[in-house]
Amino acid sequence: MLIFNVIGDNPQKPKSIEVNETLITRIGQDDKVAFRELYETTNQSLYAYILSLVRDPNEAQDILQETYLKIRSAAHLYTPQGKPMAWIFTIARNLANMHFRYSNRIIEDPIDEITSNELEARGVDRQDIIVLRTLLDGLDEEERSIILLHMVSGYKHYEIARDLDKPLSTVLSRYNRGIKKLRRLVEQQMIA
Amino acid sequence: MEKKELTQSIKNCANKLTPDCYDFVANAPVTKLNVHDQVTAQPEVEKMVPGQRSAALRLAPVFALLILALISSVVYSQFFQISSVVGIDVNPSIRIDVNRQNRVIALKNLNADAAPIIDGIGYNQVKLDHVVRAVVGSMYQHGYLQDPESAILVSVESSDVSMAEELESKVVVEVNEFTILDSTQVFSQIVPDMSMHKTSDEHDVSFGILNLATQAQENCPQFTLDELIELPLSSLYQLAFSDTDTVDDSQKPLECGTDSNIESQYFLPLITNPDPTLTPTSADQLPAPTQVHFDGDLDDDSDD
Repeated sequence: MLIFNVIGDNPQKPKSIEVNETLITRIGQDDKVAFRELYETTNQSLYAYILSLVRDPNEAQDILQETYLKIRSAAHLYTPQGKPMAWIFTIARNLANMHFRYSNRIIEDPIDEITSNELEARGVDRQDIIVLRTLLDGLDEEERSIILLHMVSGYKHYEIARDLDKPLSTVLSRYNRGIKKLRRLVEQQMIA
Repeated sequence: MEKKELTQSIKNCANKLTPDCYDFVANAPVTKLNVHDQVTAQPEVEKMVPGQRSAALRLAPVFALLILALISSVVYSQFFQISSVVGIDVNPSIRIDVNRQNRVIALKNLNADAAPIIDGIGYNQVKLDHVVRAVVGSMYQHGYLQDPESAILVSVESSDVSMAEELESKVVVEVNEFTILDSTQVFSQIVPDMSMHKTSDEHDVSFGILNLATQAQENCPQFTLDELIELPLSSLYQLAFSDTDTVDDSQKPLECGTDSNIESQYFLPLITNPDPTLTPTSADQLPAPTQVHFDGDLDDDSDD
């Protein structure tokens, strides 16, 4: 077990996503199979990333759709640079920024009572909702995106650093600081 | 709450929340862009010809070499470059090369008599005063400096006069402290010319003696350098500084005279009847430093 922990990935951890850069090129040539593969590989991590930016599950869904549409409309222009997910994250971030600019809306409670009820209706446990609400409300954007990408998609820290174009040391420190803050805030919420 | 539980909660939420919008995004009509817009624009990447390195990379070894050279030159100048040369002449003549840190980097015998004196003395990067002590002790063990009337000449050659003065003072203090010599027999001089020790090699004599002989020849041009070099140390010293301002005309220890026979004039009198009033006194009675200054006081009235 010890050797397994040292030399290999824990099987319970999500596998890190690897997007083949040729998928984008093939999507540019209207290859539907390639698009399907890209979608299935990136869907959850992309949603998690967008959620960390906009903090609203419904708005995150809209931006997720727009991101895939943008990929389809510009994949033929894509220049391989070895970081396809960095390009996809950039599109999502730009769309989120445009969304903020046009909506001019300040989110005070990322998961309000209505959303909370919706989530419960979808089968999300009440404790999980508290954790998610605390994460979206209590951490800053950088901490949210790093923690969500690492926990949801199994992104390694160096991959997050590469695809979000941040120094590895920043990613590591923000992650550790964010986790500590999240644990403290969640415990406070639980007691309350 | 444990980190594992936090991770599980967040994954649960993500699993339940992530919408399945594949049908919509795969089938919705899209207009292909002609050029990237502000949303899809990719960052510019510096295009490099295969095999061509960036300018910074190409220059990196040059910078590294420059920095290495700079560090080497600083280290060399501080620890390995000769900053001053100290000469000790009794009969054995010894030369001590010193770096900027006043540590010894070379110890050389300038004649055959000096070879056994310095044999076995560890000197590399050792403080000058320690080496001087060892040299003086070794001279004593080899039978030199046991007569209080023995003379010793300390010469310091350096282009930095203040540093030379400091070294001269240090060495004279060491010599006075560790010998039984009459302090009037300890002579010292500063040679502000770093080429003197090189010239002295050509004359097969120490640079301290050569400097005295050169000074003496200016006062007594009728004698050759080789003749002057052979003179006893105290005679030579007095001839060299016979025109020193600190010495009254009436008290000049030695005049050049008109006799061209150097031996009859300067050897016998000094050997048989050394006059203490004509010799310099201790180092702490030095007059104000000059380029090459007299290490003593010939004033009869002095009670010091």
